[in-house]
Amino acid sequence: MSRGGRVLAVGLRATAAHPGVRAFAPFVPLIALWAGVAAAGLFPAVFFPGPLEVIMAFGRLTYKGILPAYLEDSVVRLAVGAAAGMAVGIPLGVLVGVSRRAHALCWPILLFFQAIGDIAWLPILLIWFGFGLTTMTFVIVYTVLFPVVLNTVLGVRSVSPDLIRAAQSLGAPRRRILLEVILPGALPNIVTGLRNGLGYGWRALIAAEMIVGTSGIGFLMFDARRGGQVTEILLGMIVLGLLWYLVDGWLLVPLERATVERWGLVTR
Amino acid sequence: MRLWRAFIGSPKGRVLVAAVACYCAWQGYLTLRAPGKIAPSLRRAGDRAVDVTVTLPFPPERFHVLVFQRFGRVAGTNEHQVELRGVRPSDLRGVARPYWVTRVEPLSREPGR
Repeated sequence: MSRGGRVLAVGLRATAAHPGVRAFAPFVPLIALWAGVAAAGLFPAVFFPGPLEVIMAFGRLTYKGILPAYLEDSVVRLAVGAAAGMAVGIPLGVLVGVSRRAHALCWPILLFFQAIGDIAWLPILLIWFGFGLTTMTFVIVYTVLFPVVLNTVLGVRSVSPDLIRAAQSLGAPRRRILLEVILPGALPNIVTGLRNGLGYGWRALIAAEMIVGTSGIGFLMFDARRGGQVTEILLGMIVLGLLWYLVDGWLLVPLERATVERWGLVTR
Repeated sequence: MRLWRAFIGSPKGRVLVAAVACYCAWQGYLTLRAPGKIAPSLRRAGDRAVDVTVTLPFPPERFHVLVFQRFGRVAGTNEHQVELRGVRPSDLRGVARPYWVTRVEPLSREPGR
């Protein structure tokens, strides 16, 4: 085997052994292509900076305290908004899924408001609440709410009636049927709703920060356009992608694995 | 409880817990370090609001001015310094807390500059 082949084999073994390397490996050709195009000078450097300039922007903004502060603001807003969205969405979804009357009453309203996108609310929210945290929190809660509610309803309604009847015939009260039959049965859909809702919420937050924010990663990116700071815009995009990768891969997927997968409700 | 044990038992869970611990330690360090950046004469100011000069290791930008506006009136910037007026003594630690603040001293220049 040639030297290059041996290096490649060692690289592949390292890739297979370490999940961190395995996760990063698909980005290597992308970054190499980016660096190559930037170095070739096909576009002016101010419009298309290379990875090194973005890394330097990361160092500069961290040194000045701007990136950590904005990142913290965005993450806190997402956490608060998502927690509120889940706190409202899961019980509402269970109620709509369990009760025919609640379903008849709420389902048309849910579908109606689902069609009105989060950004469509911004003009009226700006009049009501102004440029502030309340507007952004409303947008995130609204965005997280619908995927959570609709998936929870779907999950509750997909629980086999045989299981519920079996529990009833064994004398289980309604509360135990809800907690031990319906909720575990609906959990795969609830987790799917959470993953979708958080993803949409993250995107909505960035859009809201661009329009109404005075801080946050979305604000950083939108503000950078004033000075033509393409490096800061690219840095913001990379931070967004990385952060969502961490939230999904390190929190939501393990949660799914530790619950619905372990219980055999879904298979890989 | 079992879910928590499974989370802690996984490598990702341990990394996340370590990251949270590092973040808390960093915040604790910033809190402990803040009083050392405040000039001794400011610590003896009593209850009255004070005018201060905040020194940074770089020229202040809009972000830094907005941060300091939470604590008082920003009267101006000068190379690596921000002049801040009407700061309550209880807010001085907040002014000195960010890691990019190197020194908080009494304002010595003429007012209205």
